[in-house]
Amino acid sequence: MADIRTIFLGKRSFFVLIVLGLSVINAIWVIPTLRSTRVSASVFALTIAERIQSEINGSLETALNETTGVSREVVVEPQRINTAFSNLLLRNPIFKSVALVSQSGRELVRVDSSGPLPPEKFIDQLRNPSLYLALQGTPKFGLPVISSNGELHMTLAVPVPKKGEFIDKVIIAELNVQNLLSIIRSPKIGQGHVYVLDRDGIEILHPDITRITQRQNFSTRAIVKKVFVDGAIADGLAPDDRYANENGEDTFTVGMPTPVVKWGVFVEQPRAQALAGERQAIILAIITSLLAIIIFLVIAFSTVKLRAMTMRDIQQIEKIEKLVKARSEFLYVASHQLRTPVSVLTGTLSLLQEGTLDQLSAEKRKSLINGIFIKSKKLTHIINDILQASEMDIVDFKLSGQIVQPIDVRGMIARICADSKEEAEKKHLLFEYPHAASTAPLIVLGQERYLEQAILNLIDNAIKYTTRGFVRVELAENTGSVIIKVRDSGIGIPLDDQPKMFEKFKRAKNAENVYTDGSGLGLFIVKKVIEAHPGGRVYFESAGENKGATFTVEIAKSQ
Amino acid sequence: MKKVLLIEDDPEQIAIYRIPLELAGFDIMAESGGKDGLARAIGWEPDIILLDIIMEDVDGMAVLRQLKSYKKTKDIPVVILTNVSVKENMEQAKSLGAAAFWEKTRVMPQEIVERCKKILSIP
Repeated sequence: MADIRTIFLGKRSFFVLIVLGLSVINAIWVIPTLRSTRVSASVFALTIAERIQSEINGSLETALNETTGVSREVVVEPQRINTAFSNLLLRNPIFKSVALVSQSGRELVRVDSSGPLPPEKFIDQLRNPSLYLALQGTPKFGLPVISSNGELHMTLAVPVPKKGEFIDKVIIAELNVQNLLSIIRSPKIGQGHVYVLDRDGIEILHPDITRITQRQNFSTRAIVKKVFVDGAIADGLAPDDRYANENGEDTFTVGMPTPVVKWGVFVEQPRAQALAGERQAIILAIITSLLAIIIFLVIAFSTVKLRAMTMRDIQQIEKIEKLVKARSEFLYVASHQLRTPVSVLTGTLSLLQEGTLDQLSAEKRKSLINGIFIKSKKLTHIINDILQASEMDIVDFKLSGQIVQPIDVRGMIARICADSKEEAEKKHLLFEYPHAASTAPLIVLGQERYLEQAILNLIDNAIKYTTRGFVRVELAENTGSVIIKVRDSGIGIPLDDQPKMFEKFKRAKNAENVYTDGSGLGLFIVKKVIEAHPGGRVYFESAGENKGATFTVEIAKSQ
Repeated sequence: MKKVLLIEDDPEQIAIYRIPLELAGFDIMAESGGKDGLARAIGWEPDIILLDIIMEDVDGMAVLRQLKSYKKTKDIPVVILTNVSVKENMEQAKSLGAAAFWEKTRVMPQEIVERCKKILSIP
């Protein structure tokens, strides 16, 4: 079970990837799909608008440019205009014929696919609304007519731009309706279709030819108003853009004005069909988003709750907690243990610097200097402890072959005890070392410097933490080991604190009260040193607070 | 003569604070433990108390709490003078009503004299 969770949580990045993946699906596919239904209709409308713009207006514009040059002034040079119009007819099969007409309705130039024709007078065209409106500045389609060869044509009157506002000429083009219809029939839009309205809302193009002649007026429709007033795409989503088509279906219409001339191109589809994709996309978007959120929450909570459930994780967390605690303990110890001597050193030196020391008696001066000395020694001791403990902590402390040498433990302990006896007696403690008389060497293998320090640490501790009674050092041997015992009648070790006594910066609660300057590193170093020796182990016994303690060191005898 | 009580368990530290305070004309007494310090504060009624935190018998914070609970000592300004400048200690000292929190390695003995004068409004 734990393993499954571990796998599940171990693959957390995998789930993060799933969430990311779902988000990407949303971003790349679902959201565009959501938009695409609207956009696709808009794109059709735009495409048609652009084609009409480029094929009709663009062609006329080009022809006009060729006619006028850069001046924008139509100087009627029939030959030049003939050429321009002929080129237009050649380039664009939509045009059946093109004529330049004066404001009085008189043709100035007239060209059809067979070439220049003699101009005619369009007396009747004066009453032709398309010509009239074009003279007002508005391009206008005329009614479709059936030509002599049976083709359906439609006139388009376009004002000729000229400097100033007065328009005195109009281009009247005859357009092939079949060709125009091919433009609006080209995009496949399911059951929908494209139709074109002029700026008055009159239907001028519809896939159904009969509709063209009917000239229906859609100017009252909201979407038509939007297209011509705003001059931009109307997406048909507003409630007032809905109306029934000839089959009685609710419709979805997108409208788009052509640039400059502003005919409206409209794409109409049954609403149910148009928005079906959108509905699916919305559902998909909701599902993927919910899924992403659920997985995200699972991941988020798994870090808080589930993670704590696996054994491996518990161990990891405990390890980290220990490190953090050790670190804060170190900071606490360091700030007290290191700063106390430093504060005395700097404090005394500042008194010296300010001349305060000069005002004191020789005796007081001496005592202050002595204080510096004591604190310097203490500082050195603590720094050494910290450095040594760090060294032992970083490298898995092992005594390598080269530095291992035979040590006479008996001699070493006799030396240590000679010094320690003095210390103990200063505190009026009874210091016993019953084996002082024996001199027979007792050899172990190891590093004398380290071993001596470890034993000294234990004896020092015994003296430090014993306020009355005795400290006794015993040396014994059995078949394989040398056994050193340090007994005292001191403050003992509270049962609660016993399991952690060999850890770094760990001090028994009662030790703190007796000796505040301890670094909490002594026993850690002892354990590391002893265990680095062949067959080395160290342990202690204490019946509890104020019951004394006995520390025992065992090291393999050298054969 | 203003009376300064120094509650501090380290004899070398007592020495470096005692000297400049004495030279500045303060009447100074030092106690090396929390219990003794508390007793001295009640009996002697100093004008200001400089209090260490880590001591062998009673923690400085506990001493501060006691000082602030006795009628005779509650109005005496108590300055925490310590090497353990962890945030928790500073906050605790403040909430218990310490007049100031001085870090021993940052505030030199002579400066302590000046700061004590300031707290006691001595020109």
